Amino acid sequence: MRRERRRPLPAMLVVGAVLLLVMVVIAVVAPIVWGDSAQALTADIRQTGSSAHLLGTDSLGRDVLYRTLVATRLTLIMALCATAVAVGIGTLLGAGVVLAGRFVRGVGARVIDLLVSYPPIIVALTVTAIFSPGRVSVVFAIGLAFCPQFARLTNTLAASVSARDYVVVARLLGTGRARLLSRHVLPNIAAPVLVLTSVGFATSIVALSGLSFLGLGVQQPSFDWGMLLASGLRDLSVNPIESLGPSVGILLTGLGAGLLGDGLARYWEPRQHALPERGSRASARVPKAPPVAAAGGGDVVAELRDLTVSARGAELVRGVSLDIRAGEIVGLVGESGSGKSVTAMAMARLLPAALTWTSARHQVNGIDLSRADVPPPTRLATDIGVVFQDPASCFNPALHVGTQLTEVLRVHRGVPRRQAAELAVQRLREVRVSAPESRMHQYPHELSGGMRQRAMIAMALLSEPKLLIADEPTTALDVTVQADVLRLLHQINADHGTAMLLISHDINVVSALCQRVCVMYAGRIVEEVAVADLRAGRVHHPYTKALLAASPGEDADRATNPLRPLPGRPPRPGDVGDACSFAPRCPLAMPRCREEDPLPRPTPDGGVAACHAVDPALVEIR
Amino acid sequence: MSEPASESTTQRRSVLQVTGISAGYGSGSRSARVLHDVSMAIEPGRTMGVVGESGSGKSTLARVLVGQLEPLSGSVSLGGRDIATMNRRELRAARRQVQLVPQDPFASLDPRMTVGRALAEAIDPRSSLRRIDSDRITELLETVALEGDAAHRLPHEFSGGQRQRIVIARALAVQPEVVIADEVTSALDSSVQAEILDLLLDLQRQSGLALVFITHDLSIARYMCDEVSVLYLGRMIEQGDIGLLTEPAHPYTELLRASVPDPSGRMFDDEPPAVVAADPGDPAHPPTGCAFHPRCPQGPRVLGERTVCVDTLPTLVPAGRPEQVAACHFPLVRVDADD
Repeated sequence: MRRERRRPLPAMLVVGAVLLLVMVVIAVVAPIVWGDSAQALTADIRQTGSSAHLLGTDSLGRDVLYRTLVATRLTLIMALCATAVAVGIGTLLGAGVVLAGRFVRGVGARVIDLLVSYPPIIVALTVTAIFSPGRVSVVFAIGLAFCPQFARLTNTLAASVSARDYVVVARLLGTGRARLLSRHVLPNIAAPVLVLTSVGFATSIVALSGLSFLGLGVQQPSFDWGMLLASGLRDLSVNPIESLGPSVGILLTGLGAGLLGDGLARYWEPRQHALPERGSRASARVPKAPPVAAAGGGDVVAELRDLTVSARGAELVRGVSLDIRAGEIVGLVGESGSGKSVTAMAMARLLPAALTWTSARHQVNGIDLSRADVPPPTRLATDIGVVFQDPASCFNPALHVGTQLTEVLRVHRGVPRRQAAELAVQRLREVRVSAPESRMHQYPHELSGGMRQRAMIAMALLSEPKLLIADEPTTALDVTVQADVLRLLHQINADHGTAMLLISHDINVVSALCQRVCVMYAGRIVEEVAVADLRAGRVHHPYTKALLAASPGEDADRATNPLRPLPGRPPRPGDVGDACSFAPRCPLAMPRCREEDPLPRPTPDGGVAACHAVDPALVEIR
Repeated sequence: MSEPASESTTQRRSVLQVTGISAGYGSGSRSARVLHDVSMAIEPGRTMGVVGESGSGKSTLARVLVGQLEPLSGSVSLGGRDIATMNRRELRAARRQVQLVPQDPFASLDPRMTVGRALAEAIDPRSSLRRIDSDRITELLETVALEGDAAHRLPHEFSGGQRQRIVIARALAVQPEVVIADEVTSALDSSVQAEILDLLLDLQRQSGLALVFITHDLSIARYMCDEVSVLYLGRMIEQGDIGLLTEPAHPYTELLRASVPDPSGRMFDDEPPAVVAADPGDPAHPPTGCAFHPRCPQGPRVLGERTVCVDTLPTLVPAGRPEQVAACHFPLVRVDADD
């Protein structure tokens, strides 16, 4: 718990805090030092700024600068109290309602909605009208007027937090309501509430000044910025500089509060995802990869040599070479963070701009894609089809399925609309989408998950691409739908000879569908193996062996043939040195593995494995 | 419908038993019942698998089992006593015996609470967490193979697998008799998945924990479970010992079995009829008769004369192996007539 977490303070936090600190110092010091000067009546009435009175004097000849400085204390105290009332009542109301029973929850939310619909300033005016004008009633008026906003925000936030698993579990453990609120709900909604609090503080200064300006707030002989502003405005034509002081005060305090709130919110949020460290120079020199395994047979549709992809100096992909031949289904398997999706997206030239990449050679269907500075020709859109993991997020929810399906034909091929629609219907029928004509006029959300993924595949196939890249196409689907989509991909490959690159974390999916499998680990292909060898367990890299041993296959049995977990974690991108990236987790690691990154070399079964333990002698015997 | 299940288990001592429960969400005209007449008994030291696809009601069942959702009808017994007969204090104590390990280890730990405090809360949710029993926490962390210094760290400093270990440790902190594991490995990489499955099996061997293992992955269910219940659109369609996953009596279970990606590639050899790919439908308004009939490869869409499937809801009857029940008019494995 005391583990120090040194994080740099956000600049806006520092600036906001300094501004507010200055205001607080003024609030403390000014009435003591200039209290009398601010009250002193002089004969210099309504003078403009001079060396004696920097901001001039008011109608009674009092120095406006002193009065502004002295008024800081009252203004800040009132704003602080009003904000405290608003946040306190609002938060307790909003968050408390969520944890109550179902009935109170429903009614409470409606009541809060109703309260929010009243304009705060009207509420404030009503409250001050009921009580006699004065500083206490005005503070409560503003506080009550703004509390529905806080109630609404905390209500919404608390409802979402209390549905999270950790609150559910805490409830099941028997944690009481008050503790749930103070321990789990409030800390986790604090960040947005803080932002709104700071905004609320700034707003309440303005609102309080407004009420004082109207004469409903602070009464003579006390004065706050609002009152000064009022008298300044009265004299605006005679002495414009008089209203400058209170205006600047309100502005700077509001700005400080806003910056402080934003800065706090940013600082408060614990880091959820550690980004790769910037500028780690640990990336090893990429060993020049020998020719890709299993050469010969079939035209090469896609070719990739020595692909490296980096994000902020950390290498996500470290020298991947991959060939895909016509009619071939190649699987790319690995754990999350192994670089498999990045490799696939690089193949399609779809990497986000934040990533930098280089390759020695990169061509798909004869198009050279190796130069990062040259945008890929639009022809590429018809040469590569891509199927993503989540079809729900890949369709535009506002457009008909048909419009999106035919886009590639209309835009890139110039096919007339009607003909494109006919082709699309035909494709939908081929991927066994039921009632394809009417699907064309439906919106994506009207299709089931399986139907959407089929439609996505139909879309990818419309331009008859030479290469289909499918990135975890079945991960988001149910098992029966997954089987269905795998069958479909198999069929498309058999019927049209479309080459495919299938990315998956599931070695069973890959070995069911693919002919050749590349296993990725820490940004590199560590083994390439024909699927028959993979199925028979004839694999050579210890990582591939570990993956197989950890996956529940048909013959797994918890008593006789238990799964064997793979201890440890993969290295973070950028943490790979000159050693074998798998060495820390490898049961066969030798001293050599920690000094020298192994080159991919042929295995006795005709595959390729990057491992020092793959004995070259075995290869020679064959 | 609940009879076969309860009959077979009354001889053994069940720690958690639900009989004929229905459950749903919403109220009034917008209410939706998504779980219908489900019964199951969970015994110490054994693992009950709950298998089904999205919309099958398995998560709703989990919520009923842990007491997060009141069933609309049916009864829940804990330690052999109907919870309807318990007073508040007894119920609270009994409920603590059933703990949940949710699916997503990134959502089930409070991001602002150190691991030590999260465990302390589980040990005594009524304590202020000011004084923490660090020996007990270290012991818990060791049970799930984590270092003691993990107690001082925040969840975001851990990997998915480690977080899931922490969540399991938290569930164990109350020394529960039943742990409901809801898709606990589906957010994890396969190498990590094996580690979590192993841990659960180890804990079960050591303490005789009863496990309810909810999963959509049949190969994991086969590996983990002793018995299995198959749900389809909120109804139990097959139940029995784990062997039923290899010899299912219900066509839906058979479809699930055949859908597991088979590394041998044989899954592409024979194509099932196109009807199986139909949309299962809305769990709140399931098809009439047998809810599976529109997708059934042996059903009325394929064999036109089987109209009974459209008209009559099948009940769970003995089918296949001993203690196996299936709700199908035309089960794939029939018991002998004299049985």
